[in-house]
Amino acid sequence: MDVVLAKKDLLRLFGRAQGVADKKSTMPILSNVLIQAETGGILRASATDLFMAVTASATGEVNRPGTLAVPAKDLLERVKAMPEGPVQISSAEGATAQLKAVGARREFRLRGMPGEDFPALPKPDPNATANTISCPLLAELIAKTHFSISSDETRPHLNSALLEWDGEVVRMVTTDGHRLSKHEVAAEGGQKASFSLLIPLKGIAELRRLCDEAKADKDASPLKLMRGGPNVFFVRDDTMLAIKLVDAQFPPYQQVIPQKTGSRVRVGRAQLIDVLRAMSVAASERTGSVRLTLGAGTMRVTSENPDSGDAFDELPIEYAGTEITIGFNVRYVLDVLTALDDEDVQLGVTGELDPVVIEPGSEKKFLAIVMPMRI
Amino acid sequence: MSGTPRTILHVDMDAFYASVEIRDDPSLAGKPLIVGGHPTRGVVLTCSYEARKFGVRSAMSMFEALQRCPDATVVPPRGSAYATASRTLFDLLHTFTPLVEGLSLDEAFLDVTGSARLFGDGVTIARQIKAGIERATGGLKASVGVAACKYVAKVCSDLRKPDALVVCPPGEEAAFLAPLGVERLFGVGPKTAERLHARGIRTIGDVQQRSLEELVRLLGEDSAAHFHALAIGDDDREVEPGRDAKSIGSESTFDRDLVGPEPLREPILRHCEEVARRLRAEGLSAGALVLKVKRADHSLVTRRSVATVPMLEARELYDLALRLLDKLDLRRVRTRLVGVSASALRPIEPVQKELFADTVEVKRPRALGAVIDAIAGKFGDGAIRRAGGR
Repeated sequence: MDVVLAKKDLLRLFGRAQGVADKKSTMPILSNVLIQAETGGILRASATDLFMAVTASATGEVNRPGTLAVPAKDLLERVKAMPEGPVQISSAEGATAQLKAVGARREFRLRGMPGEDFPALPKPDPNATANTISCPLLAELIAKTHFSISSDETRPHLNSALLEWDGEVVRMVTTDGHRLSKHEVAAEGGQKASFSLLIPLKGIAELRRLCDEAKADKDASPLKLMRGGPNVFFVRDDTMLAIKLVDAQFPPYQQVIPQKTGSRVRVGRAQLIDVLRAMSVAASERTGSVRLTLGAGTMRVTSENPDSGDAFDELPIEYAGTEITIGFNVRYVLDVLTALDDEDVQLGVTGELDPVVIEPGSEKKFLAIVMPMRI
Repeated sequence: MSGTPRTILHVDMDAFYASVEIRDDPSLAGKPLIVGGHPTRGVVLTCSYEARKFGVRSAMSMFEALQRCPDATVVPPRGSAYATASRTLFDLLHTFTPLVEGLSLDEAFLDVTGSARLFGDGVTIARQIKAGIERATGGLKASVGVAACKYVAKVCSDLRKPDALVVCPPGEEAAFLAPLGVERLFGVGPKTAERLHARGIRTIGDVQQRSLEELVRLLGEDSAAHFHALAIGDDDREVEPGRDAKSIGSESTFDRDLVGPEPLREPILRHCEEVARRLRAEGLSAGALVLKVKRADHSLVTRRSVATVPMLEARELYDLALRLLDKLDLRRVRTRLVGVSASALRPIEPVQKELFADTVEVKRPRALGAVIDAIAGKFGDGAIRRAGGR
């Protein structure tokens, strides 16, 4: 293998791969990035942790095709240490990578492993139908729901996001068992499809990164979404992300979305955020609980920590129901409010222990449910 | 009782939560005030003496309380304010003796026998404590009972609330207690009282008059001996400092011994309900539960289990108690007494509610248990067992 590529392209390729490579695996090969130089001037860099795989490619000068697996983190550090300009990467004896600055004397030799030792990477079914979704739209779905994904890896069905393509609606739903968020967008170009995918939290984080990169590159081309075996593939330009879907049952979320709530509260979003943030300062660190008392025209918010003290504030609301006090984990409510950008939000409340529905004041593409705390 | 008489004080704050509320909002003074008021779980945590005149009592449902006293002002409890006042109280009590046994946020026993040279006799110390509390807490009042044992000291402090100081000199216990109703005997509930009344036993003096044998016939051996001793002020329980983390228990001796574990379920449930009621009344949750079983031969077994989340409902206590009961092999065993007690008590903390009540993983352990039972039923006990532990 012998290739020459611009340093900036190498940084992009190896940077991507480094994020996915598994540094802590008991399989040493997984901490490597697989470099594949192909005739036709294409260099591919791939990494996998067996749950996710990423392949990115760039064009350069391929003098001799070949493959090599090189420790991902070490490789990235060395490329970073190169002077700007083209860098030559070639394989030397003993699966060693040789990095040379073209037009300068700086060089590194880095021991790797034979490319053949790298696990086979998943590929989309060649006949698979592809749907497309633009990066801003996917980013929107993730931004409005990612916060309620459970971080508990022992509960894979909650440690993931449900991506549903339902006719012309694309929907993302997440829940950690205490709260749930659901956001819907219209499929672009009137695409119709029907499937649902359970994407693990790690995959969602990688997808966010993919969308962020597209934004930074001012790349408006849509993502291609394909399925193949147990995986889903997202392809952007010359980058392909394969994510192994979670083989578990997402909770029956439709059942917990109340069809009707007792009464509605309309409240200024920024104002409520301000009050809740202030009250959270005095809330018990263990439980993070605040009490919201809804009365005619006023919401009173209190928090207390038996060991230190308490706090009180109130704000105007539109509410005509009977007075009710509900306890919440303040973070759950703030997560929802800060994910929205509407001026007003609506809370649908029933009893003090019933799920509370939070919706934007106007558009109804988004819905969140927060379970109260028994206080 | 032997040797020199002890000097025991029982200090009990007057309408503690309500008094803290009135101290912090003097406009509430002189009015019927109820602290509590969770809309559904709603029980009265405490109320002012004005509300008590209408028949409002601690642990009464809010609904009933407001029927009796519709004009009462209801304020939600402020745990941090009570905790602060409680710390002030106990700091003060500890200046008189290290032998302070806290019973709750606002109630304690003190053994001041050894403090006489420093601070004076029991009455003198009681006066200092009452004045000290009022000064240190910004006007809160306490009632104090002084006696030679815990039981009589507690009776004293309760006799003329509020702002009372009642003394029962050592040696005068029997005469002091005699005119009081049998309900004042520690452990006499409505049912026992009824049984005693039916035999014309209305006062503690009546109990003193009866022979132990007659009481045994009426109440069973254990209760009879207990009440017989209490009636003359014989209570040698020590003041146990560091017992601040107390427990709340309920137990009963059966009229006839019960055979096997099955018939114990119903009384256990009743005790769990009683314990849950008292937990709620004190605003506490339980982190652990002890099941106590006394066999017909008077041998006693207790089993303790720690809960994963603090318990406050009878159902939660009962589930844990049944698991402990299952662990005791009581087949064909005759049982004379069961009891449950909740310990590892903490102020109630908010508990996050679950969105999916019956999610797959919640069901799984039970489903697994059912499968194990089915296989064991078909192929015998050894056919399947958990990999870890036997």
